[in-house]
Amino acid sequence: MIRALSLFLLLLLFACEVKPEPEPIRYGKDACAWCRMIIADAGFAAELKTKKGKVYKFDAPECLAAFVLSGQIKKDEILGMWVADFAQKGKLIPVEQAKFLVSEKIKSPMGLNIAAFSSEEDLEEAKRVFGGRVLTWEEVLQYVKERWGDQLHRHHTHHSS
Amino acid sequence: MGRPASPPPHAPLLLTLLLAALSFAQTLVVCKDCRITSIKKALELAKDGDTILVKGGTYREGTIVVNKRVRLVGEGYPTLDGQRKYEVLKVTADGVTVEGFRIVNSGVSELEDLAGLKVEGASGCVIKDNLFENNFWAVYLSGVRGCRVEDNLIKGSGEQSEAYTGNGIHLWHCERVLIRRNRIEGHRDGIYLEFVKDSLILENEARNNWRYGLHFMFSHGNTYARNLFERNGAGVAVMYTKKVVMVNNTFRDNWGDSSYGLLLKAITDSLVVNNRFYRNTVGILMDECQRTLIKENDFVENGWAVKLWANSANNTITYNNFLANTFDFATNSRRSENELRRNYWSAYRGYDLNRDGIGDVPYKPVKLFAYIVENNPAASVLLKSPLVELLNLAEEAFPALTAVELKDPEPLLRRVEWRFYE
Repeated sequence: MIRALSLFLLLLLFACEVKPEPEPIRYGKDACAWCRMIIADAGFAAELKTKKGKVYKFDAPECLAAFVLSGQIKKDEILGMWVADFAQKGKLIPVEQAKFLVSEKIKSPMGLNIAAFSSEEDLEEAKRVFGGRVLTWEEVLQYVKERWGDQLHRHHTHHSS
Repeated sequence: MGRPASPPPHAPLLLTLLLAALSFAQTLVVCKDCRITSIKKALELAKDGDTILVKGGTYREGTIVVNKRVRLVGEGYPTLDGQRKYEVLKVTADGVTVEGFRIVNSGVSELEDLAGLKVEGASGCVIKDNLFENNFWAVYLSGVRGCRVEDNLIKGSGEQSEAYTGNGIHLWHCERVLIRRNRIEGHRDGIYLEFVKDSLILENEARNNWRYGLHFMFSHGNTYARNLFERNGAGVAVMYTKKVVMVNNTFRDNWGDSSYGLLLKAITDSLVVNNRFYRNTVGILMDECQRTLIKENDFVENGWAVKLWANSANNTITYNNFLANTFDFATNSRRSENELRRNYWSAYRGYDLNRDGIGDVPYKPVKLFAYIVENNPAASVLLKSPLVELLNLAEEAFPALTAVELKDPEPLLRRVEWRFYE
């Protein structure tokens, strides 16, 4: 009896484990947890998942960065963060593996001109077309802080899907 | 005075000048059997001020660049076909008119916003009476001043493919643009404005666009009036913008889990007057909304007429009609820094002993259940359950249960009469 129960609890434990993978984004349906815009462009979306399995979806890398900077979720509660690959629409890549291009010619949904890439060739091609500078995720956080500093704490996020 | 009228002495000179002017502005005709058979050729031959008249037929010429001040006029709606490869028309000169064409099948690109008709860095354009079908972006104005986009019929591919449907009418860094009497469907956003100012959006109809009917980003001092927004993913999103005038619009049947008739996100000093909100999931969703007047609107049969987030303050909601909404109001805050006064609430059950037309008991539009849902979205699964009815009943019997301060201290007993300008 006790063995059966502990087996059951063990199973339950496994069932509850949060997978380190992004939830699919429902374009045209899910709203951004930061700016509330309905997520429409598969070239710019982003996502954050907490260790408890709560999922926050974003319409743009700058909104994910702003959300992180606002401190609503503590760093050690974050399981993973992903951004859409600009060149391979619909694909979400971990922020650590992404390279970011900032160029005035890139029209990201919230106006900070950021796109993410997983492949070096795609990044080079985009840089040839748009110009601009290449940033890491840490540098993106810094850039968003510089541009939106005063808004980051006034802002208030509500619920996510 | 009896002398017969004689021509003034300089008449011959005037006549000569007139003829010269007429012969200067010529009309070039393009058709399959004409001397000129392509629009590109006509543009090569044309001078500023000329008219290029294109007769019926289909023209596949890659991207046609209009870099002279010409009137491009179609007769019998000739088709300009981008063959899913090219931007179809690209206007770079000031004072260009494009009228009477059917513009179809623009290219689709990962890197560029290819459009049926793009105007870039030019002023004074007129885009009138065209049909746009199956384009990535349809009308795209970038860095444009003083243009008119009127009477166009715009249909997207209607594919719900997020990557490959752009906006119907897209404005980026523009000013003084008039967008009037267009019908837009099947695009991402029907009309999209980013960094646009001093513009007018009048009498358009946006239906079945898969995100918004109309979408503002960072676009101050614009007016939209007498438009219809129907069955879009959501009706209108006005975001990060000041001084917007919203008058005489109809927001209808915008349903879905993150849908609403009108989203006011980070909006200040704006007007929402004389609009109709029928059957939307949420009539107006106010998030970070300041100093905005919401007056003389009808909210009819919406899931929630108004959702007001705690971060919104100094707004005035007065002389509106709230008719048969599932919930009139929802908020996630116990206190509200907003003025709610003299509205008509069809759910109001108070009395008026002194017969001054104002209810003697305040109306509290936030139901306890709506408050619970706002703070625990998961509770919405109970939406239709008898438990909710029970809560509402209990709330009526014991008003102290209502958690929220928000109330209309002077509810009207009669519906507000205001005129919708058809």
